[in-house]
Amino acid sequence: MKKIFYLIGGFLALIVGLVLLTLAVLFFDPTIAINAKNIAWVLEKTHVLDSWSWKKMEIGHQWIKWNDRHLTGDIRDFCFRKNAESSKVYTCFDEISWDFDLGFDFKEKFFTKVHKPFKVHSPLTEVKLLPSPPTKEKSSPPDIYRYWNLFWSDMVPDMDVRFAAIRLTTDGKQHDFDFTLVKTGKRLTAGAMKFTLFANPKDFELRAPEKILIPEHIETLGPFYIRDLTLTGKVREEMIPLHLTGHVEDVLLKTDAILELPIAEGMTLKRKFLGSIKGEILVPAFRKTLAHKSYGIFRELPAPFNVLDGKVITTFEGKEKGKDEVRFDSLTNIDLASPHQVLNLDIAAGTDLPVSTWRPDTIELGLDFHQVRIELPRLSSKRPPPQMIPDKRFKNGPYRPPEEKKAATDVLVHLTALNRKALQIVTNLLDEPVRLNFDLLIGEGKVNKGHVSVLPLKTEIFRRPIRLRELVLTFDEPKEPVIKAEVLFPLPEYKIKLVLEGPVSSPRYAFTSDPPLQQNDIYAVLLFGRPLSDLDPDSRTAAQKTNQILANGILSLSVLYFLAGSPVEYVGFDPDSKSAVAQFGLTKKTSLRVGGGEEGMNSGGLRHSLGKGWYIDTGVQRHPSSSTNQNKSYGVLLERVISY
Amino acid sequence: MRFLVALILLIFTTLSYGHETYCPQVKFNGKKIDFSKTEIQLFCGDPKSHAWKKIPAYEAEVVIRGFLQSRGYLSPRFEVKDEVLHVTKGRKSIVKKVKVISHDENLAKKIKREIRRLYQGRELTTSMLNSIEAEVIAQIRRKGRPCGKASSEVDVNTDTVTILLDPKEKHVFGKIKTEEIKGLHETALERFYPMNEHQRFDGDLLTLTERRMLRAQVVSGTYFLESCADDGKEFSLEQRFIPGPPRTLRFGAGASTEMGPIARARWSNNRWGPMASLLSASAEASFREQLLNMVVDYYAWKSNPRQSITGLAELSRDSQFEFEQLQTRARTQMKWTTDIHENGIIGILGPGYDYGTFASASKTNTQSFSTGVIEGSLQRMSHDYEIYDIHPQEGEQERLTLYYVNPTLGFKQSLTRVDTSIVRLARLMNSGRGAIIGGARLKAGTSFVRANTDPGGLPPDMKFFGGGSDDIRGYLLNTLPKNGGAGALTRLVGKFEARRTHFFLESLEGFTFLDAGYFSERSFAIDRRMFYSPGVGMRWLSPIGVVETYWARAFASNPYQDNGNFFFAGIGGNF
Repeated sequence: MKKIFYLIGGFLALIVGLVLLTLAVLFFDPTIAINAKNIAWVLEKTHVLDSWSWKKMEIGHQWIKWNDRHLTGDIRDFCFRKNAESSKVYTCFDEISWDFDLGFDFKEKFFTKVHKPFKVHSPLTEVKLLPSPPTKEKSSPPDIYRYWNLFWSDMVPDMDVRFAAIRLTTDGKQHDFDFTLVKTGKRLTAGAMKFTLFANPKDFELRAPEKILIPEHIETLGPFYIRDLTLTGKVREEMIPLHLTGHVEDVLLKTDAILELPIAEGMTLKRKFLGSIKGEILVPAFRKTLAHKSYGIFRELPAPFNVLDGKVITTFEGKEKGKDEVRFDSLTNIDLASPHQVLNLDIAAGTDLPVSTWRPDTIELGLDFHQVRIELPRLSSKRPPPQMIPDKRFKNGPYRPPEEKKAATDVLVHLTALNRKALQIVTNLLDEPVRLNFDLLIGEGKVNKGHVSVLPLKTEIFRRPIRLRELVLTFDEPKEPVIKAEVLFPLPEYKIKLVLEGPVSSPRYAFTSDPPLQQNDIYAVLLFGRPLSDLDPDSRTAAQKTNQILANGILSLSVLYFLAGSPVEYVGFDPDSKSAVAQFGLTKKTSLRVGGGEEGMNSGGLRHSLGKGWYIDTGVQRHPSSSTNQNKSYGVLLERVISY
Repeated sequence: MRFLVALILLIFTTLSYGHETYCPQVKFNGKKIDFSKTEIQLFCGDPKSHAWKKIPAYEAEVVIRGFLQSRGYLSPRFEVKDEVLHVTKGRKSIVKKVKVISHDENLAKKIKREIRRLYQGRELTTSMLNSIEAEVIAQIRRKGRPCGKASSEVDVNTDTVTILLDPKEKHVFGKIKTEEIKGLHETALERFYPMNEHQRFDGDLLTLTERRMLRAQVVSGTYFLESCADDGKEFSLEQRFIPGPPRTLRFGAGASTEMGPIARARWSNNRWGPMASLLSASAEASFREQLLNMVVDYYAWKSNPRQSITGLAELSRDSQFEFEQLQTRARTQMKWTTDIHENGIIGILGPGYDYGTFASASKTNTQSFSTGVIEGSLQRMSHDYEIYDIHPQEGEQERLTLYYVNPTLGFKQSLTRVDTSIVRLARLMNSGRGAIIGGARLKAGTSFVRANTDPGGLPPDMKFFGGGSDDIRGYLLNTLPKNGGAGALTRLVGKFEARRTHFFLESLEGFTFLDAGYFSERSFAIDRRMFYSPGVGMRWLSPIGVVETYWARAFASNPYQDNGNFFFAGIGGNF
């Protein structure tokens, strides 16, 4: 037992003694161990490098005090090649040199005093990255804050590292760049591929080259550059707040994010980083930006939007949500205008993004119209508008059953326009713009709930004034959308109200009037300015026949619309009595009626509105009597229609 | 000379098939297309509109594609050269083949047959495709499938229309949820329904319900909201109304050199009481004519909303230069309506009272009559006939009217007037895009009176007349039999017509007819003389109703008489 104890104790004492001896040698004269010969011997024995060479290697040491040494080194034309499992490296260094004092005291422990920066200059470096199998071992994320502080500690001397030409080959592609790193006291300047990093122990700033060409596979009209890209950060113990600014041509990009320390692993890092992002994109001259660089359809918006110009601002923000999701919200304000048009609206978008799949289930989109005034093309009032949008049902090939769709992201859209100026449509067919309000919820490609309403409108259609008091389109899935509208026809003698209501595919309409009339009479008043039953008091047959036509709904609203534009208010013919009646508008309140039969024109009359439902009718009628003489009868009728 | 001919041909060819330029930035190859001014502005730009002044080439291509599609040019080619859009419109497409794809193969076959019949050979445009889809939907809705969906696609290379039909499940009407109308009992409007809740769905019956309500003017408007849920497995119906004001009152006063002072008042309530009964009254008065009239159709039974009491009270006086007449009519009748096996049936029966006095210039002594009457009618009208507003194209209608008076009731003799009308309209065959429709109407009626009764001594309402556009079309209105206006006690008229719908145009209808009729001044007997008129005509189903014109030749037999040509043109045209 004792033997074993002495054996182990002796072995430990030998190791401690050897370590102390090595330290003592290194401390008092490290060149005893670290010199060109020994390094070459170690490199050869360990196979750390596959091949190497240098022209000169001098490692110097000077005794200053018992606790202070002056260390120098100068290696020239050192080249090596290393073929590892994951990479192949070949590099040469013109110079690797150092010149500093290394000391130790009991207060500051180790300290350095740099006479010349640690210099590494390489004219050529070739690195080839090889595809490597995925490693199962999870490496714990680096403690960035500790490394950062270590870098700025006195132990790390000033340095001047320059790689003039690095050729990095990965996936068969070559990337040539340079790399410099100059540390002087508490300042660091580093550069690679024209990116420059300025740093001190508290802050850093990464500046991109003045212009970065966007990769050519993005189709643009001309070269497309990112300018003035700058990333700044403040290194704190718990976090690194980052701020990115830059211009994509005229577009200003500003983003803030926070990198929490210590850096978390995988998903948590993504979640925390994306959850801290805030940013803003400003397009100050929208039209110019589109016209300068964009391609094809994006180069110029379609009419009537292509004359609009102004700015577009987008702000976006990420927030952590749960263990696996980040909530992204953005708000885009489009503020464009042209001499007769305005487009001022907010587009709010939001989604819960699972960081594991990057595939959101739903995207919520909200469009809030503040002021939109759009001009429709000038349309003819005499024919229906042309088919402006191609019909997608016409296809260039036989019918193919649709492929099974992958579960697509559902886009939930909330459209709102809820003020008097929110949406105005200007058309030459109406005297004043159509003002629209709406509040719509759209999902799965259809409007699920909401309404569209046209605000009150006054206009004149074919010389007839109309007032649209209300028009509401209500959506309530799964029912068909329902339209409800109220149009007033303030005619001289009657105020007629058209109620349009029903499924939007086939709305029903009904007329009411003040003073009230039966439906058939209302049609007649609209068309002819007076009730049908009064058109020919001596012949009910004609009125009854026309009534039948009207009551059965043969007369459509479109016919009313077109007839209303005619100067002739009414032309009627009764086949049985073979009499015809025509009515012409003389003034807004007066109309002339003439009638005739087989024997020619035989009646005439004037009708004049006195207002408030009173009107006066005067007429003359010539009719053959049983004898050869002809009589003329003259009449006057005062009529009042009461509503209740 | 050859060169000259070649040059001329070349010039003409260039003119015919050259470039058509509407503006410098758009050029069309081939024959000119008659674009509207609006269309040209939409692809060339509108110099008068700041917003539409400049149209980018890609937008011009989009709108031109739409314009060409609306004209049947479905495969145009576009090319931008030197900032000029060159358009080759290609050929016009027509419906050549129709395919219907559906899991219900039998239904698909039927639909395909019908769509081919209606649309094959017609120009293929967007509106035509909409029309095809609407027709398919209408057809499956008639077959009990309210939730069915149809979409279509066209292969522009082969002009094949493929219809994707998803008929969904069959449904019954179910309980219809109705919007409440203030003051009305929930069963008040049930009398207008041609269907019941257990009946298989048929979209046409919803239309018929709406039309019945509008024809009765009980509401200003009504519509059904259909709701399909759970991929068409659940279906429900909701009816909403545009009630409108129920009452109207109008009155007026005036004067005429012929009539003297005139006063007129008219009142009606089309939604009276909790069961939406009908009540109307009118009064007119002048020195020459006075009329007082009241009509009621009173629905008293909430548990039986299809049964009513109808009433009429009318007092009129007509004092003209050559005659003077006073008439009083009163009726109180029961009315029943029902819908059985796709037919609407209306029965009316009840007593009444007629009183009248009349005197004429030739017979100055005042004659009078006062009698009780029993009057009734029974009508069957098939739903497919009833659904047409003015001009039915298929279906059946039968009507029997009865008028009975006798000395016990107060009339000078016993008289029973029976009048029947039977109409049959049938689609005989399809012809092109239209159909050949055969129609027959039989009008048979007689007034049973004692032998040797002079028809001239009976009131006109108790006799029969013929002629006119609704009767024997070669003769003037009510001019038959030609017996000096005395009228007939028996009438037997047959009208036969063959129509060709979609006659060159969809809204035109050509027809040929033969009308023939016998009359007699005796009861239940016909004279040997027959009045008949063959003819041809055309109807225009215009937006304001049927406009009809026809030519007929009027004949009479025993003895044969050619009464010459008769031309007619006018609104209306009741077969």
